[in-house]
Amino acid sequence: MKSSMHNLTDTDLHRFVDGELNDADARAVADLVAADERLKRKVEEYREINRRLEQIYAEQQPVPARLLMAVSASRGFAFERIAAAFVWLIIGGVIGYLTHDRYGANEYVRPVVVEAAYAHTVYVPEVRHPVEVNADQKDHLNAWLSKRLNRPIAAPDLRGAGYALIGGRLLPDGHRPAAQFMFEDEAGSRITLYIRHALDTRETSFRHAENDDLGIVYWVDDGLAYALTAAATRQELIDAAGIVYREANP
Amino acid sequence: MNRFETMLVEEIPALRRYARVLCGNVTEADDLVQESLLRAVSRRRLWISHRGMRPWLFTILHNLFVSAVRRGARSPMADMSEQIDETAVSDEDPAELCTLSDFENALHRLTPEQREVLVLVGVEQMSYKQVGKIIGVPVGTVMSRLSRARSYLKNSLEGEINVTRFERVK
Repeated sequence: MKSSMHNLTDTDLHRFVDGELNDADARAVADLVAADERLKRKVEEYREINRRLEQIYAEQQPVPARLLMAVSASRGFAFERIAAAFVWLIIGGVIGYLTHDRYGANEYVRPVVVEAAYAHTVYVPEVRHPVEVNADQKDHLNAWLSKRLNRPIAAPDLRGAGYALIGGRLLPDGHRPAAQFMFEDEAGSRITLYIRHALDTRETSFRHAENDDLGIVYWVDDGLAYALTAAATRQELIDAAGIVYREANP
Repeated sequence: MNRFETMLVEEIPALRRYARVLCGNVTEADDLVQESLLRAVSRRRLWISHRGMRPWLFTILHNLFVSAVRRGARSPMADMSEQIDETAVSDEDPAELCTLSDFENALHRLTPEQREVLVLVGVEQMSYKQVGKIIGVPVGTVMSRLSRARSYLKNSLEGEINVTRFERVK
């Protein structure tokens, strides 16, 4: 378009409204529009259309979890992982049966490896709300979870294993409370520590279970059942578990 | 989360906006967004960082939509009643709602192809050239769709001016 152009086409008006003209042309069109009521009205109408579209399509609803899960699929945390959690249920069922893992005759409780694996699978892919209470409120987190579990527990310091605390949350385990602490290494891989009251309070050594690339080291210590879950090797998990154990037994 | 994932998450609201333009109803739109994200994740190596995330993702979403329509899996026409429910701004005065609905009715009589050009240019502030690349048509086609869509909507605005508010409430 020439700056001196006098008979504007409709196309010129669209390009003007949409910022498609160079500065000189835009100024020339602006002058012509200012001097002509009919053009002025047209431009105003095009802008009004844009305003209404913005109003209609303005995004307001929170992003559904399934969309965030889709993004995490690159780390393998998608539907396959949820499917994998069901395999844990079967493994856990067997372990539970073998160890008579129950509170009372009428109350069946899923083994700690299953609860821990579920909780890990559900919360680790969370982008916005991986934890209920963040690490910056660690004292509050420890006090709250201790109160709910009715005995002192504390988030361990796993920095020695390369993991920094993200925070923690309270979880239902059957109808009893359980605690989950979540940690993250520099590359963004996460490890969770699941703690609940042990069903069988006899202390155990570290035990290891794995499914796909998710591993769990679990043990019972001083009446509490611990399960440390991550996509990590057995040795890495045992090293981290050692830190947890030593912190609980200074 | 790595940088790629963070950028993807940041683009989800824009993707949902675009999908709603094409699909009309929110559930179908989110299905389309989910498919697009999964595809983006699986093809992350094809993403060229200096080109910007949004145009790349929009291209993926557009292509998925087009191939779904071609397969007949996705209806190209928006579900009007649901769309109005989803977007009605309830805390505004009822007369205002009605003017929105008039405009929206006109908006949903447009084809998805016209609507997407309208919104990518008018709301997402993309250039004609960028839009042409995303939807795979020449700039001239972008412009003709845009001008046809706008002149159609313009009539619905003019209609509003001539009809009094109460008459519009059927």
